[in-house]
Amino acid sequence: MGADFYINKILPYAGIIIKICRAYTNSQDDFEDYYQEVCLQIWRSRHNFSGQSEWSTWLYRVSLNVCLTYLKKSKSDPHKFASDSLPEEVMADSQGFDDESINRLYAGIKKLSEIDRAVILLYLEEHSYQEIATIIGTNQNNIGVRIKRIKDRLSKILNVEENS
Amino acid sequence: MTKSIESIWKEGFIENDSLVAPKINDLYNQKSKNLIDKFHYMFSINRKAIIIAIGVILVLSLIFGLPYLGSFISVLLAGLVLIGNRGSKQLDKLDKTTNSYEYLKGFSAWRDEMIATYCKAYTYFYPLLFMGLAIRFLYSEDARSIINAIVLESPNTTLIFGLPWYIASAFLVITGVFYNFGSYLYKIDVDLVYGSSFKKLDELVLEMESLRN
Repeated sequence: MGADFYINKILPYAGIIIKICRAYTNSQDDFEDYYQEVCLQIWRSRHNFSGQSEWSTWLYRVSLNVCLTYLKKSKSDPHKFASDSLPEEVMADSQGFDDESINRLYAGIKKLSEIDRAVILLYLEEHSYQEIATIIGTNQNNIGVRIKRIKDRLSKILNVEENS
Repeated sequence: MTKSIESIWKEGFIENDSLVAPKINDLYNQKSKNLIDKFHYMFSINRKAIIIAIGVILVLSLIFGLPYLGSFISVLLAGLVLIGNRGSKQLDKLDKTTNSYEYLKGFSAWRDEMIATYCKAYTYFYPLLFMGLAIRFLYSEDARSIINAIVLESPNTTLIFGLPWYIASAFLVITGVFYNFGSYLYKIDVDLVYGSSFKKLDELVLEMESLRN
C-alpha cells in the first residue's frame, strides 16, 4: 500500500520535490534527507488533499512547508535550520545537476532568503502570481514586485560569477 | 549574450535525466526531522516520562511513609501532563498542507501560547514543589528535634509558624525566588534547545508578513 503510493503519487512528481529540496540544501546527504522527509510528510498528509487544487500544486505546498521547517542535521548544532550558513567547502558539494548553468543558477538561488527561494522556484516553474500567492499565503500584488527584485539580484549574482 | 534565468531554467531541465530521485529506504517507518514533528515527539516523550515518574513517586512515597507528599508532587506533575496533552492536541490541528504563511504563523502562535502556558505553570510548579518538600522536612520529627534544640539554646528567638524567624524567612525567600524565576528557568531551557530554530521561524514569519503588506 505504502510503496504503491510512493510509486504512483510521488515518484511521477519527484522532479518538483528534487528542484525544491536542492534549493534548501548544500550537500548530497542533506538533499537526500530533505527528499525523504518531504516524501514522508506527503504520505502522512495525503488524507488532507481535498482535490481543490492540482495534486502537483499541493505537492509544492507541502514540499516548501517541510523544507522551511526541517531541522538540519549538524554535529555542531543539531537545531540549526536549513538556511543557516555553511562553510564554503560544504557548498562545493552542492553541484547537484548535470547542467552547469543550472548549478550556477541554484548557487545564486541559495544566496536568497528562504522565502525568496520559494517565490523564485514557483515563478521559474511557471506558476501564475495568483498561484504563487496562494501557495505561499501572501498578497498577489506584492509577488510581481518581489519577483522583479529577486530576478535583478540573481542576474547580478550570475553576471558577477560569469565575469569573475 | 547572457541568458535569462528563465531560459537557463527551461533549458537546464529540458532533459529530466538529472532529476533522478534518490533512493529511499523504508520511507513510511522513518522518524521525521521536521521541527513540528520533533515537538510532537518531545511532548510525547515528556508526558510518558512524567507519568512514569508519578508512578515511581507514588510507590516510593508509600514505601517511605510519605503518602501526602507523594500525592502532592504527583498532582503537580499531573498538571504538567495535562498541559502537554492539550498542547499536543493543538499541534495535531496544524496542517502542513496549508499555505506556508498559515503553516508557519500557526506554529509560531502555538509555540507562543505553549511557552506562555508553561511559564505560568512553572511559576507555580517550582515554588509549590519546594514548599511541599520543605514543609514535609521542617515538620518532620528529625527537623523538629533540631529546631527544638535551637529554640532551647536561644529562647528569645522569634518564632513564625513554630519556626525560628530566620528559617521561616529563608523558606519564604527561597519560595519567592522559585516563584520569580520558575518561568525564567523554563525560558532558558527552551532557548538553549530551540533558540536558533525559533529565531529562524520568527524571521520567516516576519518576512512573510512583509510580503503580505
